[in-house]
Amino acid sequence: MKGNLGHDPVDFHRFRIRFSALDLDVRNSLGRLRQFLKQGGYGGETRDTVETVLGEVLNNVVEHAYAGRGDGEVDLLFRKGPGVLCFRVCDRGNPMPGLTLPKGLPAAIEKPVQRLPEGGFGWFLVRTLARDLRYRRESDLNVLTFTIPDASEG
Amino acid sequence: MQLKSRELGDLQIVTVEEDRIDAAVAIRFKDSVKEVTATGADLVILDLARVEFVDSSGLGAIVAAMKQLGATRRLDLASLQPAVDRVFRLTRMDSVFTIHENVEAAKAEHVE
Repeated sequence: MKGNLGHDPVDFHRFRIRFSALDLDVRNSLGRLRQFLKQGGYGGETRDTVETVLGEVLNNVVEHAYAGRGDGEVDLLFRKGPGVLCFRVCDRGNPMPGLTLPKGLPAAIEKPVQRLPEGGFGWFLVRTLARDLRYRRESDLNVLTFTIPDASEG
Repeated sequence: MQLKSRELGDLQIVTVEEDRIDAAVAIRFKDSVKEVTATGADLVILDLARVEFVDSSGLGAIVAAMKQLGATRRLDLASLQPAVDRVFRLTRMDSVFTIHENVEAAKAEHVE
């Protein structure tokens, strides 16, 4: 993981980090962002929401965009907006199927235990917690943007 | 994947000694729970007091752990931290699992 902090020591309105698409690098990067948000005074619930949404988005990049190839690079940018935290995630992996975001419908769980689903929760969590979710493909680049409401503000 | 286990009669308390159950460790978690619950206790309480974060892979692994026990045994959860509790609530998996405030409450309920 490139140790690129990308923030001014007193500015908690911007954070950028680039890392490889490996589970542990994703974890470490999420941890560094979390630390940054904590130091910047963003509330616990906001930080939890960021971690949940970004965790799912980044897992998706690792597992699907780069399909487990550990050599792919991910570029994460955070910027503070009025009442929101803005995120952009870029990668050079495979495009989203159909060049659209998964619908993220709730998983069907009214079933006997042995038939419960073990997957299909990720995009539902993203769609429930994030706003302004947008995906675009720019030549060989996947660009995903979204916002998280800042629960600390009003 | 560090788990601690103690048995009290037909009850087994499995304490997760990690702070995350996520994509990086989901499979190991599932396998470790399977191994530690091979003893066959009817009711397994998964103590998540230390767990700060569960993602969709972690949630799936917890479901898989419950399925692994088979139809006659049960997996309950205890001591969910707010972020973990929220993942279970949003996905409505809190209607699938019995969730206890803590291990003491789970034990008390089992005795009744």
